[in-house]
Amino acid sequence: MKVRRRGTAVVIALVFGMLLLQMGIVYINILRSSKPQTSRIDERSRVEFLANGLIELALLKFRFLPTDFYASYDAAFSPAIPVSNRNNAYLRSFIEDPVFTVHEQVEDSLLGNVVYNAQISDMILHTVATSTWWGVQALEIRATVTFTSPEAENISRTVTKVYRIDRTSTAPVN
Amino acid sequence: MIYSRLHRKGVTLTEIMLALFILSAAFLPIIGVMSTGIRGTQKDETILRGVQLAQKTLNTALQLPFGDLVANRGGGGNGPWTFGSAGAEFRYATGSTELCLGKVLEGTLEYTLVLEISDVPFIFNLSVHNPMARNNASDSPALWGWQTNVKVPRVGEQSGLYHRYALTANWFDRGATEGTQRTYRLVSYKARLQEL
Repeated sequence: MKVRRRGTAVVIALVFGMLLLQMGIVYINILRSSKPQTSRIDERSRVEFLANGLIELALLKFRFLPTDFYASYDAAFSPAIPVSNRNNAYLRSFIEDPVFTVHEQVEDSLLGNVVYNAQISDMILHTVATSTWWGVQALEIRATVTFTSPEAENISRTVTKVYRIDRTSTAPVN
Repeated sequence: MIYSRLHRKGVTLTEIMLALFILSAAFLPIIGVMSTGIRGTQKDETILRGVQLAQKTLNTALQLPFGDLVANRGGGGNGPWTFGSAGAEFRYATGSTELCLGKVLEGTLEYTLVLEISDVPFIFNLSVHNPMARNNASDSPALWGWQTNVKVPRVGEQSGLYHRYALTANWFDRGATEGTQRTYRLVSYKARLQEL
């Protein structure tokens, strides 16, 4: 009987030890993954604030110069123009304005020193009124923010805002 | 009756004590790890609270009509105009919106919120077409008399229409002045859209 019980304690100790080791490994993994998640929440809000601010400038340009935006948009997408004649270079020059590119260096104790590169990536008109260009439309403005996270990861995020536009007066309503 | 060691059943007090000692020794690091986790969660909570407070405050500041806060500081020049610096309390309310800057109590912690607004002068760059040329060749955009790289305004920079908002939240991990000092910074912009 004594012979049959020999070595049981070692097996129990090994199983117990393995369980403890596994618990430790799982806990370390949880700790390792939870910190980036917290910083991602902070980063997301920072990116959204920055992108929304830049989108405001794009909207300001649209309200300043609506005729030129519509002309360049027509030149690129108007159904009245043959596809072979359409040209989006003028619309791109409206959107790819140097003033629409911002490099913002933000330093704090939570996320360290990060340079955010934000730029307006697209301005799209959605015609709501059927069979006419005149009437209620929606202007979609997209801003893309790229940055390198403190974990040396290259991140790119796009924020989109849509404004309702009354084309007769070109006055966006929030 | 004599029982040999081979036929003995049960465990001695010494064995129980030894087992308990081993178990306690094994659980000590587990308890240590758990308490570290709890401390980490508490730290995360103070960070999240600070981040949320900063977001809420900047959102409130951005909701106020363009130039309202700046007018409160005289409004001349390009700024920067600072609100809530050195813990000085700054409150501004319009209708249902109330902005609180400076020292703000949130739970047991004290957060210091400082907002800095500055003017961002700009020049728009675009291609401009000639409406007369467009009338003559409406289905050929290449013939619309485009001028590229046109600057608006043509002379100088446009100022007073676009502001940069930088909000800084400072706090200590434990209490008003104890623990590690934390900083969280948010940046956004606001354009003067209302009157256009």
